[in-house]
Amino acid sequence: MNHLTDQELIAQARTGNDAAFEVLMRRHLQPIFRFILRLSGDAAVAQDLAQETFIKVWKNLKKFNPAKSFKVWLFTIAKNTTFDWFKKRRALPFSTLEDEEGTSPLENLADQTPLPDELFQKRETHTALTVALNNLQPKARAVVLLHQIEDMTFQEIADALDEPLNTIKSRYLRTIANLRKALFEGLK
Amino acid sequence: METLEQKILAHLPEPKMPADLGNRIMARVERSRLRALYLRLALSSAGCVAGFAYLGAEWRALWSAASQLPIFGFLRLAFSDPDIMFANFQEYFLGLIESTPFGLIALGFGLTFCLICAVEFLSAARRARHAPLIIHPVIS
Repeated sequence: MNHLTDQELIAQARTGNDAAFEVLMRRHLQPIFRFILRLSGDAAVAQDLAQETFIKVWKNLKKFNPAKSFKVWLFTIAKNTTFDWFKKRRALPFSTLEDEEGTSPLENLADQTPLPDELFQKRETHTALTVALNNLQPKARAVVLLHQIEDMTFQEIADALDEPLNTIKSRYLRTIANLRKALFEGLK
Repeated sequence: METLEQKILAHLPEPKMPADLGNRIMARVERSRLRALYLRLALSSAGCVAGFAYLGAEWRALWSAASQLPIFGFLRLAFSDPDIMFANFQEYFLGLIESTPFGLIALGFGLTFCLICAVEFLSAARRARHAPLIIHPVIS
């Protein structure tokens, strides 16, 4: 069954074939877990939310439109599940890099030095990068993770996050600039 | 050539996913499936119990009403004097339709449906409970 495409597995899973659903689930589990973990910042929470995501997928598989992208639908459910968790905590993480408008004081900083390649090899860089990513607003973080890590196009991200394409693009560019500057500041 | 953002994000440490996460998800799926099955079983059983309870409480009245139904007179006439029945077929047929016990028929269909559902859900639940537990090998 591992040789079947997502669409074929979905068609079988819709008839109640749990083995097909399991193959589909295991195929997408790692990317979903990675996305939720980087969005939520908590490994234990990410495990629970990943489980909830796939339970929702299983329950709503009959409502999924096969003409649309399963990956986009799956990440939409994962994003909504994680954002619901943020709401239950009653605190959307406040970004120390951006205000409510999504602008950052760091945007006005002039580039002092280009980031050399050797910099990316250092352990401090990994730590600074993780901190900088966790300090982003969840929506900004989601856009960057989906585009760079999960290889989704801007249109797919716009569909998954239910936002206009231009909003996604401008948020992405702003976030990358902020990440770069935060990395630079974190390593000074 | 790598873009800046690819360089930045390529060095994010890959998170380690617990090896048994997939198994836990399938266990939850199975529990959800059993819960839905038991709920449907409970509803169809309740329908059966309510239907039989009503039958049990009202069986004399229902039997009396059923035995006085025009359909039995119609069938007796069809066997004893078929020529009279065919000569006045239209009147007899319209009279039958007017006196059709829709309530009794609905009760009968409803009870049969609940009974079939209850038996099906019960056997599905027993199969699910006693299905062999397959532990999937952990793929590292």
